[in-house]
Amino acid sequence: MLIGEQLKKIREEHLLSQENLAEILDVSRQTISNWENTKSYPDIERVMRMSEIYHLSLDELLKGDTKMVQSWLDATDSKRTVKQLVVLLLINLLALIGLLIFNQNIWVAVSLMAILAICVVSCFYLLIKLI
Amino acid sequence: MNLIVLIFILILMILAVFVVAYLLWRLINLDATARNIAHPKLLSFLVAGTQNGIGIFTYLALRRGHDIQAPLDNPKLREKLKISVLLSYVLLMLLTICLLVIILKY
Repeated sequence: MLIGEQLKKIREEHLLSQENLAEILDVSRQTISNWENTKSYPDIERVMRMSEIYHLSLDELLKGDTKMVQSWLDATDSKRTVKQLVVLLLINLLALIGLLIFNQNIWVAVSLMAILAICVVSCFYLLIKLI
Repeated sequence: MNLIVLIFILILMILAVFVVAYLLWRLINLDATARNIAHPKLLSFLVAGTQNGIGIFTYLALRRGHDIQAPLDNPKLREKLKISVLLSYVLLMLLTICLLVIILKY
């Protein structure tokens, strides 16, 4: 059984509406609907909250939905994040070298600075995403 | 005139640095508390006070093995803080660009 069907079944067993559950988990009703239709997966924290609400273990709640587990693994794939960080830092380095060479042309310099800033913000975003 | 603008941007930048550091402190504090890591306030202060993201890297390595305990967590605040810290960081970057443009131009 997919996690969506499983979540719907358990919610109905506990006589909760999508609105009720959405309120408890602090998400929108549409989000609950998306989970139940397997359009998206709940994050690990929300699944933990649901396991508390339904008094079920995570094992019972997930019931072998490997797809969702894979989506979590992708979300916390630190190897991929490290690769992305390395690429961004290389672009950063190139932009910095370019800035040192072409700093006489204001527009080239501004463009390179913008690239530099985007890379730095992206690096920061990747790190914050992991927290 | 340019000097006044320069000083104004510099002051805004300093403020933005403090805002980023404060929001990062709150985010790390929340995460460390949810993971039951010892001395979350001190740890988050050290992480938020470092530069080049090395503090965040160290924290990510340190928190391994400390799972989130759902009752201690606050997902709504966590998401809010993540967005706030990113937005303030973007603002800081924009101010930095403005400052550099002014320095390069004059």
